[in-house]
Amino acid sequence: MKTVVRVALAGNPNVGKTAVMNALAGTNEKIGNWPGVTVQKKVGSYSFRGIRIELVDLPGIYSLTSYSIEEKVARNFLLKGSYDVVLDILDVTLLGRNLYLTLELLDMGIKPVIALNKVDELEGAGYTVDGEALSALLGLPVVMVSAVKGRGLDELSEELLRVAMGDTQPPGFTPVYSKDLENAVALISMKLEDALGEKPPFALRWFAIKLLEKDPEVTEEAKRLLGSTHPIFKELSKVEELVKERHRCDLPSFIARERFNLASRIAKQAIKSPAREKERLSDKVDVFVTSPFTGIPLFFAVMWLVFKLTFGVGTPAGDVVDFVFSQFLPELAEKHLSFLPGWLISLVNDGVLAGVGAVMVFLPLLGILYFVMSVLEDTGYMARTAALWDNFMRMFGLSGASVIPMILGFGCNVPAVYATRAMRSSKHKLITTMIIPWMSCSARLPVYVLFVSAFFPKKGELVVFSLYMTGVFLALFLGAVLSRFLGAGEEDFFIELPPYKLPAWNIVLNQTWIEVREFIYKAGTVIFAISILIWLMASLPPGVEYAGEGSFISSAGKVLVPLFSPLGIDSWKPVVALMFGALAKEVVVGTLGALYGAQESVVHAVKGAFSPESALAYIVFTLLYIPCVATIAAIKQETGTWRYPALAVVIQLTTAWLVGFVVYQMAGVFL
Amino acid sequence: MTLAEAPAGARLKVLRIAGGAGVRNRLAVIGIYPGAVLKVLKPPPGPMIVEIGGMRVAVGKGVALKIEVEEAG
Repeated sequence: MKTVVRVALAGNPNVGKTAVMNALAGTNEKIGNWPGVTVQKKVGSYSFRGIRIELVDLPGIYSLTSYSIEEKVARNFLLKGSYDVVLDILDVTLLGRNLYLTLELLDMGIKPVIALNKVDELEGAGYTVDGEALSALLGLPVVMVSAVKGRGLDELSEELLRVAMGDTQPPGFTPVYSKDLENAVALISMKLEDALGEKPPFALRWFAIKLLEKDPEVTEEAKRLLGSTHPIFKELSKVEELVKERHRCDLPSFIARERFNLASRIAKQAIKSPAREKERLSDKVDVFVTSPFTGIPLFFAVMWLVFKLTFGVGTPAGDVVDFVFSQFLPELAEKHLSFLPGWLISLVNDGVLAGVGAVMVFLPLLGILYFVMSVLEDTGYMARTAALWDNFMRMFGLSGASVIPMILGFGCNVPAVYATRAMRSSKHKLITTMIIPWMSCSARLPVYVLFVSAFFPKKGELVVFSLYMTGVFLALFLGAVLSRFLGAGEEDFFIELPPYKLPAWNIVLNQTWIEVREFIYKAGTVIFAISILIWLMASLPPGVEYAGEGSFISSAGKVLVPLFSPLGIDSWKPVVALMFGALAKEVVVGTLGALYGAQESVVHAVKGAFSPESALAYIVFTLLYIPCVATIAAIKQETGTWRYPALAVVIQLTTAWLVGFVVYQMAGVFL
Repeated sequence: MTLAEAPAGARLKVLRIAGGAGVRNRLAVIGIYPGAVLKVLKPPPGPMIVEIGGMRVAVGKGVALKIEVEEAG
């Protein structure tokens, strides 16, 4: 008997896949990447009746074609991956359209367990769902769940185990379409069987359907196996002619139409809806939110609120963390570790606690930022934002599809670069990738906050908001320049607008915790290691005063200081901090912490080392200078060559210096 | 006419979709294919919003110009 069961989660976007995963596995979730590509892969696990159930979350997709990387990832896993059972999650409020993917799974020969999610939303709206009827129609087990309310979960796990263990084998229903399509499928699969003999690479019916759909990957495979002059391709064009003549429609659209017709017929037998749908309030809200005159002011109001909330709550909470790392723990170390040699205590206090502590101070801030972003996503506002900005982005040679990666960039540039994979036009994708590093990621926030609290405590939000805007405007400007240069056309943009809803707080909190945990892990490993490296370079050669004149680190920094004097930065310590900041921008703060030591607070030290003018230039430089190592790696991976990350580094270093210079000179006049 | 010219509240039948196989296919799998009937919830300025099979879809101007429609009976 199996002790571990692997479940593949499939479903359309917005059906609540994350919610189901969260409801089953809680925060017991690992985030990684699908091998070879950069689509995020989430694996959660939990135990049920003594069996470990592993949930592999496939990307949210509408179909199993190969037009997007998400679809390819999901499809390849379903074809070749190792799993015991597929869980197909459907939004019961959009049953007809969600069944489209289910029919495709059935065409593929997969017999999934069906979870009808969001059943709580149907109650009281006059709908009745007949799960048993649906189960009988599809020949598949059907479980009604509400991930948000935590309903039907045990039943779902039970059903998954039953199928995975082979106790029951769902009969599964083979979709039967109209005569014209069925004849074509029968003809092509017969030809395939003749040509391929015993060993077809895919189930014959699915192979035939995909060839008829003109799926690029499957067609390629067929050409490889049979040769591109094989008579089967002539048959395919004959079918295409026939369909065009009879149905006035290209073959792939014809098949989609057939599948939708069948899906909605099945849905109608399982769901009784009220006679007439009332006009939805949310449609009026959508008009308000996505019309430029009302939507754009609303967008800025929302963003302003996000900032207010992040700083209003995050800053005082950060002070508590600061106290722990800069006073409580160092005093504890000195009191209880006095038997250790002095250099070791210095390593702990000046190196590790100062470096790691300086970054951990921003944990509350980041936690709140993640939380708010996740709320915006969950309520459905994020999708509207992309739609709202589409026309505007067009002026800069970008599209609404660029907005979501750009907004993600405010969290972290790395997933933002990966998110461009969803874009179809390769030129727009390239341009978006190149401008993302100027979206001010959350790692830069600690640097701003440090300098703002030292120099502009009263105008903190304004300064930080201006920095974010500077980044956005320079990004758009660069986008316009690049699109002129590359001659990029227009990206075809459209997006599903999921219904507005109140965020599911437990799920939002879980997601926030998963992100925060990643950050703590990073602070605990990368920044820990860098802190030790900095401590070593600052303590050597032997006999030198910690981070004093003559230490290795000072010599490294001094070489570059002349470059920075036009920006008002004359000391080597901030320069060294920028050097290390290339690893990850929050390291700038950690390095400053380690270099100025724990004996005084970093804020105090910074006050002594900078003028308000040079502080401004310094944070602007931090905003704009080279992308961090992880982002550079992501750009390399996405563009497939070193040319673009190299170009990004050159453009950004030059821009950072120029803008920093202008800011320093102008600030001298105005401040 | 194209979808971009349609007024609010119009019920329309899709006749033809211009453009490459990529965009046609992506639209087809969310239910926008020749013969499908959709309803305009919001015309320009800004993105258009259409209802198709109970789902709301925001459509950029570029795509709206590619979808040829006629009034549905």
